[in-house]
Amino acid sequence: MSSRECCGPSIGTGVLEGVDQKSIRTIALVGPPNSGKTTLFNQLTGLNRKVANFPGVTVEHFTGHITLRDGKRVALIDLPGIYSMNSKSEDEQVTVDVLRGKMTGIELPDAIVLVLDSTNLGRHLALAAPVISLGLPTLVLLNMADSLRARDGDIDVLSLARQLGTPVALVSAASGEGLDAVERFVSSAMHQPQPTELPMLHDIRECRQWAERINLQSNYRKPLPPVWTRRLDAIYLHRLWGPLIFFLVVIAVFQTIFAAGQPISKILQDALDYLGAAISPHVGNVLIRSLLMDGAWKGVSSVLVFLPQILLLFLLIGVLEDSGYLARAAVIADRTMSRFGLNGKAFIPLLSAYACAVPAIMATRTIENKRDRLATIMVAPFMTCSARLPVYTMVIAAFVPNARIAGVFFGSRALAMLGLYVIGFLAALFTARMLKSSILKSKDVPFLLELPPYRWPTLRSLGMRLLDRTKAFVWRAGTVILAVSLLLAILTNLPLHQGQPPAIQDSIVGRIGHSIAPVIAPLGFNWKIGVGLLTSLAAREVIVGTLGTLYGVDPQQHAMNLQQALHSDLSLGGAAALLIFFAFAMQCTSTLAVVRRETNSWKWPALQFTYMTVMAYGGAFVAKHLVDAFFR
Amino acid sequence: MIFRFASRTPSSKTRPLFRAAKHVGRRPASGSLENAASAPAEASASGANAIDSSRRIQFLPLCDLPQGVHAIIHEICLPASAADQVMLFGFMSGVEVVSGQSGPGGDPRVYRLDGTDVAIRRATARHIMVQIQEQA
Repeated sequence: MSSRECCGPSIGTGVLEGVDQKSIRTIALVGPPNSGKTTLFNQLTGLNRKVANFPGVTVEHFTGHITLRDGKRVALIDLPGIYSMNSKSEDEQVTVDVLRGKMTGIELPDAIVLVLDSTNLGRHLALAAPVISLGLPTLVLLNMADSLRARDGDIDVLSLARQLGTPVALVSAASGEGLDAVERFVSSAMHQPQPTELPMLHDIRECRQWAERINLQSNYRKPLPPVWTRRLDAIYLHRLWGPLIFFLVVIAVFQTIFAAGQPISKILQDALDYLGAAISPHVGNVLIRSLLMDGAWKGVSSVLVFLPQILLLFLLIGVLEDSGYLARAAVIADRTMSRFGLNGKAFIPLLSAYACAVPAIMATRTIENKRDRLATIMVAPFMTCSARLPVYTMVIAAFVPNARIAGVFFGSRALAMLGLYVIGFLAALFTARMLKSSILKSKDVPFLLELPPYRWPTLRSLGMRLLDRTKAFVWRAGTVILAVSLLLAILTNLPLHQGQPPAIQDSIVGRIGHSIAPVIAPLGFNWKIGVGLLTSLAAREVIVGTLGTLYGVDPQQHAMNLQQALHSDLSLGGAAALLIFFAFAMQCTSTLAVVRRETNSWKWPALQFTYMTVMAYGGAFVAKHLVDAFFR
Repeated sequence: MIFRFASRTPSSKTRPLFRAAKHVGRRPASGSLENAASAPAEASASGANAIDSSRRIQFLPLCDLPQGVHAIIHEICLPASAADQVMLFGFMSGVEVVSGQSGPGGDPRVYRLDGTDVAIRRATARHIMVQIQEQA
């Protein structure tokens, strides 16, 4: 074991005793951030972990399996990217712990596949020194060989292999080129790396000089600068055009969600209605039919119709992430972020919170400073996640007339939606400012963000995101929302009076709703909305299913569609209050659970829940009275 | 032979000449790589028989390096942990750096070094001293 923990400027001389008889069972994927480890992982295992074109996408370890040609299975551990073995952030700590055998539940890997970006070897090769000195059998993969060649770069792989004392291969993880090297590595005998020399590992400068020397001896010809990246950056980071394009991109995202998403939603709605009508006659029992079709089906289908909009949102975020624009957007937004005390690295987690707060809170692991990380975790749920999208769309479609603003480009509904996203973002900034000037004060740490070259988003990566999201969404509709809808449908029919279901307001659901009605009456909500608020504690979009069910089983509103029914239940002020309530409230048990896990205490999720609920109630109250005062 | 920087009109935000001199006075060059340490010596040697006064050694904080101008990093004046962090991204004495595009208002700015584009805030770039590279 001690030979594995070698460090310092030692030179490996012999084969690790006894190890060559043992075959490789687990391999760790190691490399700097954004060098393509997860892309390689997906290629080798056939799995679909999230990849994107910015550093810090992978923040936890994940194990998959490679099946070799001879049928042997090898475990492959995908790890967060590291710049050195002296980790500063939580995600890097995961990698360092796994490589040192200190991660609970994961044995020390038998071998390492070190993935380096061949177009950036000057910097990336410096990581080879500490990794090789771990003494584990190592395969060095120089990734993005296609870019290296396209930009007229070159390297003598054999010479590099001699210097490092490890096998080296030029590969392209995205296209699969050269990946048979991994299989050859696994099936060959295991050897400890035998580099010709190693630098003092704690000295970053020496590691770099060592890398320079080795690159020189391996005839490394640096690739030409990425011409298109330079050209695009001249536009996207232009003093004037940059911020302007940034805003146009944001507006285009919303407009697309509405202009393209709404019609597709309508088709889906019709299809689901048709399907419901087709199934309905085949359910014999009248009571069961009412429970299933008016209750559960209406509940589930009223949420399912929002799938096109959510997929569009994910598609557009995917294009931004995979192309590399996101890192530029972070540069543009950084100044605003820093004014509110947010760490520059907080931008990417916060932006991914537009999809869902759970991965966003995980992504804060890349923020080195603990207090900055906590502040980002605390404000992330204010960012408008995709679960709010159905609620917003439902209320906006019911209450905001579809008018054109600024010519044909921008619709009033998209504007209302954008307004809600802005309100959420402002609430996040305001909260960050408060936290950073009080309980989470900290010194500034340097903000360093590597800007990757622009790349074309691949259809595979985009397709996988959409597939994943569809699965998650349909799964939730088929489990949580179905269960809630069915339960509500049953409870609206109980208790039976002389064998007959009661009027809806006298049912169990009606009584629960009426008991909380006084609390929410100041916000302009009636008891049905109240029941929706209660069930939305499980997940935000559950309110849509709940209202779908309640309106489905209520004979007075049965014939109306969701929007019409909502109109009969809410005033304009009440609708504004509902939107603001959802913008601020923390109705997501998964987020609370992940905050609890990442902060390792109940204090923060409890504080977050209380703060956001108070803010939601206060905000909704103000919104209702303002709207009522102005539009009456 | 002119310093490319000297040939440019500094913007209102860049006052490199006297500011650089101040920095040199306050933080004498020490402990840098050989090539960086030799650079000032070379410059002063050529400056000795030079007529052109613009050949003085010009040190300035990285944040004041005008866009598109090449420079060599001379010294990192940051606390150890922060210095380590910027060094991991390639900001090291002796390394050539080019100032690139920036966010609105010039902060943060993208610097190109060693084939990578890295964005850093002005607050950090202030503590990295560079020497403008002579363009033949």
